[in-house]
Amino acid sequence: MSRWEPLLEVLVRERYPRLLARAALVAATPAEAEDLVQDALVATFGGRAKFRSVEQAEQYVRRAIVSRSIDRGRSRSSERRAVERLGSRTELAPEPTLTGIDRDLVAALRLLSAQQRACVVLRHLDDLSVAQTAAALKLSDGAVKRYASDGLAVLAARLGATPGLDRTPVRLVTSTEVNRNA
Amino acid sequence: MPDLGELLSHAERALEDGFAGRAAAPRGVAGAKTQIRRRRAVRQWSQGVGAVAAVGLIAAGAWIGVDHRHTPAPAESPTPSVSTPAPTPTPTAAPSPTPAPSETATSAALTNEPNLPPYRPLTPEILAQVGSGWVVTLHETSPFPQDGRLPDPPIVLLASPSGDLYRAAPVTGAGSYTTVLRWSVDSDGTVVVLNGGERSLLDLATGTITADTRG
Repeated sequence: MSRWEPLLEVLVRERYPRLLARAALVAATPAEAEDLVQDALVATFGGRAKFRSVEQAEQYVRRAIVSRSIDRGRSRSSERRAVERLGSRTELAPEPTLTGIDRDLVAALRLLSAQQRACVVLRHLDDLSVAQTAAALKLSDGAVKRYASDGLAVLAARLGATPGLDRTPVRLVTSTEVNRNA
Repeated sequence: MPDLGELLSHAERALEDGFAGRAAAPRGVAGAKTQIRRRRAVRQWSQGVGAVAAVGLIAAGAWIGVDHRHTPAPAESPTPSVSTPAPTPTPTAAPSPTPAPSETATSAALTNEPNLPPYRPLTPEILAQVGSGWVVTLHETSPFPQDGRLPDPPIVLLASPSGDLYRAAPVTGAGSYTTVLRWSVDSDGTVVVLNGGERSLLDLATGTITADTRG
């Protein structure tokens, strides 16, 4: 057995829910999440990167899940493979039932384009810089700024607030106005 | 209003909690492993023999825009500069300049098939004209079956120096994954392929794949 196989098996056995959660955040539909995880595993372990630990591999796969989420939109062949996988699947595992703001946020994320979701997640969840996000998604800095901004606007409209902006609460104070009459 | 990062983090944890106990489908993991092995095999192969296939891409221009999976392998001229374990050609085996396909052959009806470029059948007459400047490529019609079955055999197309495409006989004996390793103009109509991880010979006239006993 190759060296990568035991690491892959441990990762899938121990970290699958975490990977699935990340995929559910950036997937266009609940059904796409599991395919995204599989695509990311293939991209990660089929590449040249070598991992010293499960944690390191997990971080790589989580990042790959986000980048693959926009690649899938670009690639018709991977879409076709996903359809084949879906077609051969006997039943789809249901997505967890979320409540409150979690449910609203995930629903709002699915209104975004794949690029907007990926930019919002990398910039605001993983705290990547614009340049780091651009490199991870193979986009220009300007495109990242635009996608993130547009994504935030949609989220704000949907959630009825302006998340992500640093806002100072307004505090009302009483004052006495003195008019000096001439 | 909490920071968006906090909201996203909270939602991700809620999803993770909801997915707790969810295991990847064994078939999905097996499928991922199969794809990973293929990727690694192709990468190792391309690193090993990529230099060998860099001789005379006369017909390459005709392939721009064609949807093919593998880098086309051109027929190699048996020049002394190619250092491979292939048998040294005898002086009588030196190829003559490649003649253009005959009018009769090129006037055969073009076949249009979904996901393939228009092609003509590879007849024995055309095969006899194959020489330097021709390109062979394999098209996969079902590269990654997820149900455990082997992929369908690849479709073999040859491109003439003028860009005409010819489909070889249907392939039999294909393994889990087939890709071109080497093709030489003095190979008597056979292409060296990697078939299911083993070096094999593909007979262009019959489509038969057999293990390469030369190792």
